[in-house]
Amino acid sequence: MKTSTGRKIRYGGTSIAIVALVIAAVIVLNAIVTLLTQKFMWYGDMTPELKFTITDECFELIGEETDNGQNSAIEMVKKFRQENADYNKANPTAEKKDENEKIKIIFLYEEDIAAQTDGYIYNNAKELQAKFPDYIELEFTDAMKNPKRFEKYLSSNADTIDFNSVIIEFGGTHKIDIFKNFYIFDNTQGKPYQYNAERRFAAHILAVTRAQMPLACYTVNHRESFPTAPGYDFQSVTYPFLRSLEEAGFETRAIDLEKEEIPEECKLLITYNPRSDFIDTTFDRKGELKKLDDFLSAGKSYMVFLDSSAGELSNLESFLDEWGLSIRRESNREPVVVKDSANAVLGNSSAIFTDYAKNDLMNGWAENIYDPVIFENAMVIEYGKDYKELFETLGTDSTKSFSYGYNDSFPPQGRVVYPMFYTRDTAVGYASGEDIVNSTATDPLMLMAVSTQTFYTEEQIGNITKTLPYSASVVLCGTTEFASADYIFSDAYGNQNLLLSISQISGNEPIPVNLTPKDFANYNIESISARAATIYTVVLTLAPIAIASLAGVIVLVRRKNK
Amino acid sequence: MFAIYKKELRSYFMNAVGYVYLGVFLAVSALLCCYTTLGAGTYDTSTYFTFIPMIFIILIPLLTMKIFSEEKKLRTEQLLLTSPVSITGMVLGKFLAAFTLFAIGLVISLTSFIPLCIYSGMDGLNDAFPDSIGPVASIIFSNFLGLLLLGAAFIAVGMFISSLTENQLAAAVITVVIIATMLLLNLVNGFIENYVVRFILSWISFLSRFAPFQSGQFDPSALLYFVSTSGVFLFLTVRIYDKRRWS
Repeated sequence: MKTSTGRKIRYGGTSIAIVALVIAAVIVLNAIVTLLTQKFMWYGDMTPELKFTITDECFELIGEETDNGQNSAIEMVKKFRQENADYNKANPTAEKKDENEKIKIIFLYEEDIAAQTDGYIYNNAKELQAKFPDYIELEFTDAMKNPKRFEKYLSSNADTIDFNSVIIEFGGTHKIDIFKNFYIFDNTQGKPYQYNAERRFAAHILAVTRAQMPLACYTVNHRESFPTAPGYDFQSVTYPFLRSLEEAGFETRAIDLEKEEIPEECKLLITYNPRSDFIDTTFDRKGELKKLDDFLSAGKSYMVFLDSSAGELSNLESFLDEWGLSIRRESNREPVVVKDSANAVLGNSSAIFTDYAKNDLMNGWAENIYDPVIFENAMVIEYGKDYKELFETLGTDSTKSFSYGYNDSFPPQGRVVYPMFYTRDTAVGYASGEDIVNSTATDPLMLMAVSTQTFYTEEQIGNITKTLPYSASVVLCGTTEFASADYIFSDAYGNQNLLLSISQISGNEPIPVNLTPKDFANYNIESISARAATIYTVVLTLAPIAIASLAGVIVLVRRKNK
Repeated sequence: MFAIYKKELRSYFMNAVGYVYLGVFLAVSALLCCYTTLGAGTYDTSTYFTFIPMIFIILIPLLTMKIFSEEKKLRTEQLLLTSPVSITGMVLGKFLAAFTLFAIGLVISLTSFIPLCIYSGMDGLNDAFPDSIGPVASIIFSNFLGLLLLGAAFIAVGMFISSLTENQLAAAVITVVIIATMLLLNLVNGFIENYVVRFILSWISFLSRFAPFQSGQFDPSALLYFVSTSGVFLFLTVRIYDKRRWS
């Protein structure tokens, strides 16, 4: 009996069952440990730069109230949930709002592919989820199989989405970023030298939860139509503009540029429909223009929307002229305004369809602006006087960008003007009731342009001093009606998308976050020569063969002779 | 078990197998190391550790092909089966002997990093290159640990295959095929649309389990995977011999 039972266990059917059971138990154990490891991030980070690890500073930034009393992202999520719960209670018959909404980090790949594509970013996102499991969730959706899932991001944001994008979303607000932005590249060699993921994740999370928002200031001391007190005047012509900025994720604030300094945290300054000129008190520029100079020197952005009825604002326009941008005016200082009967909105020849310029800047944005962009009562913009002279001397193609005051120094200095929008070839520019200039296919009339200047700063990375670029930009639009309610709030036109897009010109990060990027280690062997490398290779390759052969021969000979 | 272990280990050095294995492995690993580090002018060892597992596909079957096949062929299997040592002890003894030889080769291969350490010292003394990092010990350790675990799993697979056949060549070839398949399984993921299938293949693939060690991330689930894979194949080998002993 015993023997029979023993045989069954040893090699009978029972044996097979035992083997199957053992294998199944091993699989289950592995599955449990794998799940637990992924859930609680039980990984050890052995990289010298700790690239897989989110620092405690980042967790604190997201999870805890700041010293100045600002809410953390997690506090804002709790607040939002409470508001939704209160709303649901007060409106039992209305559509329920989500009382457990979480911050979503969305990858456009399935999880395994996301992990393979960029393991560092994937792991950092997983760490954030593991740290705040009740408030942050990850989503992995193959954008190729589920394109409809991402349509809403394309229609409301002119940023590019591709597979290497990450979307951070909460409460109807989202930020789109790309993997490349999670690294800081060396401009000279195109290699990444810093890893920036936790700073970007933190900035986006703080932005979408409205815990911190980038600041956009608008000037109010030139008889602009903006409200000087907080809150909307829904009847105001500036309401669509302000509303668009806030949808872009900005906090907006009025500023009297004559009396106040531009706040340091302001990333975008706007002058919309000024009716009086800027103050420039002395030859060496003090006053408002000095503040603009200093603001732009810090790598910020300035947008100017001018109206043809405001008259010439000589100080402001001379400032813009230095940036290579000017309003085309006739000898009597009347601006040239465009009309286009063949490409007009509903028979209004002053409200015209336009074409975007073909250059590096606009090619990127235009991909996501599906609807036509309308300019109404727009003044013609041209290159600044000195810029134009340089431009005409070199005879450069007017559709592309052009460097102004560019020189051969390293790093290269200079301002580059990018045309943004042109009239079509049926447009006509007129002034004082007379047709002045016709738009042609080869020489269209410019209606909006941006001038950028790259500055350089030196930063100590370890013991190396690196030269890092940052940019300032000035956008000039020859009409204020670009941002009118008719066009901004209409789904038929791309004006709001464009406004959202150019407002993001202001820096790569939505808000400044005080987290240090992680330096990639320098793995270069500096002292080696090719000859030395060859010698080491030959020696180290041949030595084991020689030693093993010798030892083998000795042992075998000794065995034979024994 | 210890007697089996000593006997097996001695046998590797009493005939050509051990010397051939060590000579070839050390030469190829040194060539690879020098080419991917010194030749490329970098302390970054990631390329080296990416290619090293590929060498194991060929070399480890050389170690394991004769473990049981030779016993069968020479009819010394009966001696083993009737000896007082348990089957488990016998299998473990042979496994540990093969693993010891493998580990000796891996440890000696670390001498390939000596030139990197020398240059690291030279760069460090040179004020012009103050932030040159040198070979990173934690990354090398992480990869070394991963290779040990990978090698253990390969040896266990090789032993199992060897126990099934008396033909050493067949054992070697089948082991190569199985190891290569298990190592490179997740490479087909690029052609598979279904997430569940890809997940399963990645879960089984040795290479995807080794990847965290390569990138400097210690993964406890990968550690358990390799240990349990080795354990399962050793267990299966024990079952094979248990069946033979009692049938």
